[in-house]
Amino acid sequence: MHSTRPVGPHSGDAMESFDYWVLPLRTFALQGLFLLVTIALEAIVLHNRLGISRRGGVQYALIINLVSTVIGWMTFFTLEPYFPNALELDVMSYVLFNRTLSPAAAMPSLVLIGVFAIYTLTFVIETQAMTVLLRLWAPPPRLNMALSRKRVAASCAIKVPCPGG
Amino acid sequence: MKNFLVAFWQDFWGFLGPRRAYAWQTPLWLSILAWLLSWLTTNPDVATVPVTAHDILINFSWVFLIIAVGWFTTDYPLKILGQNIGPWITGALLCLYLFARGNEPMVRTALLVWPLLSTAIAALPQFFKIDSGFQWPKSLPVQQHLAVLLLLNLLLTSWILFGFRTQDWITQYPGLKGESFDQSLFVLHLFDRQDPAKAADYSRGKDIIEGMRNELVQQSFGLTRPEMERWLFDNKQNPQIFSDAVMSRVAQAHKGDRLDQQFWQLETIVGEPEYRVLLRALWRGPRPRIEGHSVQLSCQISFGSSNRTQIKCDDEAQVFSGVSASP
Repeated sequence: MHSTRPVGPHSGDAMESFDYWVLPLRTFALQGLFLLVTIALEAIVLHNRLGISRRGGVQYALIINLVSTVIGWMTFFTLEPYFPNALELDVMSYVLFNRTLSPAAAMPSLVLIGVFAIYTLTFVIETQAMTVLLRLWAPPPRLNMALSRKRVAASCAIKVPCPGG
Repeated sequence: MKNFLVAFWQDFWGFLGPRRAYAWQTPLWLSILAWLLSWLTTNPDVATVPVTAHDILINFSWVFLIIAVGWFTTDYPLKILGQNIGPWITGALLCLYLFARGNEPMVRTALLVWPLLSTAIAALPQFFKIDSGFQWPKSLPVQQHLAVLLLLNLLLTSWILFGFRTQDWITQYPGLKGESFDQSLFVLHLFDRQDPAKAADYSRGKDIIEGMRNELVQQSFGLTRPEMERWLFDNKQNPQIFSDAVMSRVAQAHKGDRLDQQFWQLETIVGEPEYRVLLRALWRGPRPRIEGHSVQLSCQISFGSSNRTQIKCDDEAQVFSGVSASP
């Protein structure tokens, strides 16, 4: 009368299932796009404010943005296992469906605080990275000039020759 | 014809014949030689010693193949945005060789290691010169280039790791397979399953409905009509007992899906004609729309001449995507 027949293409196998692959391709596109825009903007700022050559500005902006992005990912991967279950589910739901699981009304304050914290940390990381890069790569006397007289440097077109630029 | 063959051979050998003792063709031929020799050795399946001549030769074959590919891609660089991507091809082969062979391929390890290993291969010539040995690259453009290369590959590693994370979520919560990811900003489901209606076909709800049906059949076995009516009444008063029984049954059949269970809401709806029972499993977990997908199966309870309960269910469970739910 009743036989247990397999239903559907799904099997309850908890192993690596190659039959159902979700790839983070949209992450590549989205992050790539964000990085392009940010690097372009920051390169202009570095060029105008620090008197770094255009090409050097792109180089430095690329490096500091990649540093902050990579540190951001590593932080996420480090903290994520310790998320409380509700937060973990909300993150999962947001990543997979662009919608949080808990009622949306409870979220904004937390999200805003999170965004502010991430923004501040990114700023700190990027300025620190920039300082280190200038120490490493810009010749010291010109570095001082660039840092102390940045407006003058920009207006007088005294450029710190960026190695490689 | 003869001319053609001669010309072909000249082209072939002109390309694959080594010009010098040390050229990229040499390791290639060594690799082929080792591979051919491995055919002459004992079949590894019937070998009794842990390391056979076959294993050694196959390993030599791999190593020389990797050297040949690395050498070739150095001689004939394939450039994307000014960067020779040869090291990433060599790195992929090396990862395949190191991690993804044999009975237990470590696909994840291979993929994770690939970007950084390839970066190391790409950077090696800058750090190591044959005449002077190891040295830190002095030239600033080279340093900057290497820094960018390293960071880009760290980013690539992060993306791969993130991909594994999302994959793990779906393994831990198989009910997610019933929802479509078309709203996601992060992931893309390959193939034709973006369509919400099709996505629901991959739902684990079908397993759960199967569990509901088996549990119902088992619990009602041999019940007389009044007993069965009593059962239906009790179930209406306290549906949780039946739900728990179904869930423990499903958990036994599919190990490792326990996390998923909190999100399934099971319903038994009794209707006409006496007694039409609708078994329904609703997904209440993470989902793109307010309505999750649901799976349902219609069963008819009848009482034959023996006055014992008989249950006949439809052959196919119906799947409703979140869009067209609540029939």
